[in-house]
Amino acid sequence: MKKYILTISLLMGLLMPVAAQSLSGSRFEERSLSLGGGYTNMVDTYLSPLRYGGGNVSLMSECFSQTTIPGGRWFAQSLFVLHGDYATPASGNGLTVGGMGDYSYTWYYEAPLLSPQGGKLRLFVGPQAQLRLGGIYNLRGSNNPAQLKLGANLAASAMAKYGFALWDTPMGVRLQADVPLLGVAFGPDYGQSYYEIFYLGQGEGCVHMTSLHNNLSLRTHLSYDLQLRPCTLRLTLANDLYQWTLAGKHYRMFTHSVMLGVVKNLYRVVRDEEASRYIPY
Amino acid sequence: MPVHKHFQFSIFNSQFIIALCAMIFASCSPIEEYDNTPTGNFEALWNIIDEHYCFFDYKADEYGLNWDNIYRRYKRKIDDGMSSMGLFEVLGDMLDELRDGHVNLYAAHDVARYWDFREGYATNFSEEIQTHYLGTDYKIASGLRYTILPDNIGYVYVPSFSNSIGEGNLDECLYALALCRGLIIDVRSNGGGNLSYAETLAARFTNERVLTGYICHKTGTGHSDFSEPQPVYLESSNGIRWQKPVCVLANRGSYSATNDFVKIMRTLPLVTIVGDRTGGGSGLPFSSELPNGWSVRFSACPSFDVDMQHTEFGIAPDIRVDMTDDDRARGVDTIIETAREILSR
Repeated sequence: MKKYILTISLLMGLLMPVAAQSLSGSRFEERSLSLGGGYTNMVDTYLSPLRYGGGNVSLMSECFSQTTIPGGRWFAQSLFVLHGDYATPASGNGLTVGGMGDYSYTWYYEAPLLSPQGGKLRLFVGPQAQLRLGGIYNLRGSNNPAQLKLGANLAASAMAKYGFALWDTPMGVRLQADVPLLGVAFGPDYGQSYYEIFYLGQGEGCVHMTSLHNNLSLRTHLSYDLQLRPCTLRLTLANDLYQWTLAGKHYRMFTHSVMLGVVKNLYRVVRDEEASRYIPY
Repeated sequence: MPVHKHFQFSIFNSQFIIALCAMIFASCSPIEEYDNTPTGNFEALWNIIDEHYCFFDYKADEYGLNWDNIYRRYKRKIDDGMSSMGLFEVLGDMLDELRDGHVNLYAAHDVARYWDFREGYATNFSEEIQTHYLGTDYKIASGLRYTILPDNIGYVYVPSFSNSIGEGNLDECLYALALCRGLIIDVRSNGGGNLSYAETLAARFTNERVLTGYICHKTGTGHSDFSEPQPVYLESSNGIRWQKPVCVLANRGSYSATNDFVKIMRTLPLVTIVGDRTGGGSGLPFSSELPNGWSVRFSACPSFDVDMQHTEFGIAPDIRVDMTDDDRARGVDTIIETAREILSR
């Protein structure tokens, strides 16, 4: 297990600095910030066998930028999604509240065969590193009131972008899908209490390896961009289907959100290093 | 150079596709859902207990508990036309079969409970008589009420472990009682609360780290699926530590975290347990709920004493004493008097 965790950490660690290094020169960059809300549906059998339904509020920040790798086909995306959820069971008794922060870093390659240079449809694929940290709290629990949600994944991501114009107004549609493939997640044993883990320090075995056999999840973002001056408006339908089966416990969370945001397109120019070192006086 | 066959794994290989499908279906295993009908609620409750309750094997040995038989017996009493009150009564009776004070069914109109661990026995405690000892000018340090008895014996009453007991409270309390020749800690009719408060108090009575018992948890739905029991140690406190004899007073109402407190204290050398057997309740309770909104609590993680024995049905005292009717009539607490006698020797 330790070797597995080490391998995952190493692969995730490699993704980020390599991409960061390739962002050091002049490049195109698209930054967006969206806010929205929607529907949440969750089941966590450690807390309750019942399905809970409710709402969520979400904040999403994204930076999509071209790298300086020659050829202009490599891109990097840094995506942070923060959402707070509340849900009740069908009976109306009980309340579960939760909060989750998702960070992902993706290194995209623009597929040359499917999206020729200058074409309207552009397709990207690439590896993604995901970090997920959050928790849910059930107000009816005694010694099992909450679940800490902590996980890291290596995922596969694909994105399609299509640009068009209507009534002389430039627009774009984008679809992104992420599927985690390998990872690690924290979770107590089937009937283990947090008293044992945190108070008695008996937390051995709480880190589990995850892959498609126990973590079949999918995140999709369908966005529509409307270019206005001085910025672009973005409407996103965000669907996050996240499910873990760890130590015989099931956790499923579906969030469907509508988000409205703004996009700022930038072209970052790096000054000449020699010139920047010149001190006139 | 030979190529090992298992390295020739292609994504177009049928074995790979079958393996991938198996993984995907395994991760989509269904979560059982229950209807909000009397039958659905009965099934939900029976299954929650069946998959999570931790004393089936122990209680099968103790008194022949058979949860499958209980299903058959109580299923016959369920009818989808029955009233909510009627369903509550049947489900409450079914849970009573577990003979566990940590098992409750909570509805808006009532709480189903098993209190036979204390209701069927002598109370061995009277608040009215206790006032003859505590008086009215006793001190209160958060969850502790304390005074000095006329024979220079400290008396600390802990009515509940639900009220916080901080290190500062204990320092002040023990400092005030420092000149006493012995100490009585009365946890009679203390129904429990927070385990950590019980341990914080017990940590004042040991100068070294001591083994106090074991704990384990369920690892699956089977009645015998348990983790390896892990030792539980009590660390000595860095604050004021008591170095003189101690009597802990217990009765059948000493339950749950208080049972755990007595379990810990009896492992310490200067401590004598006086009074009646404790009520027990050694399982750490978890909660769940039914489709109709009722909440259920049940024992989920069993704990054991240092000899790996269950204390679910209580802990016997070192000195067994009941409050006598004569003493009651005279306003005397037989158990406190016995403790004073022990500490005066």
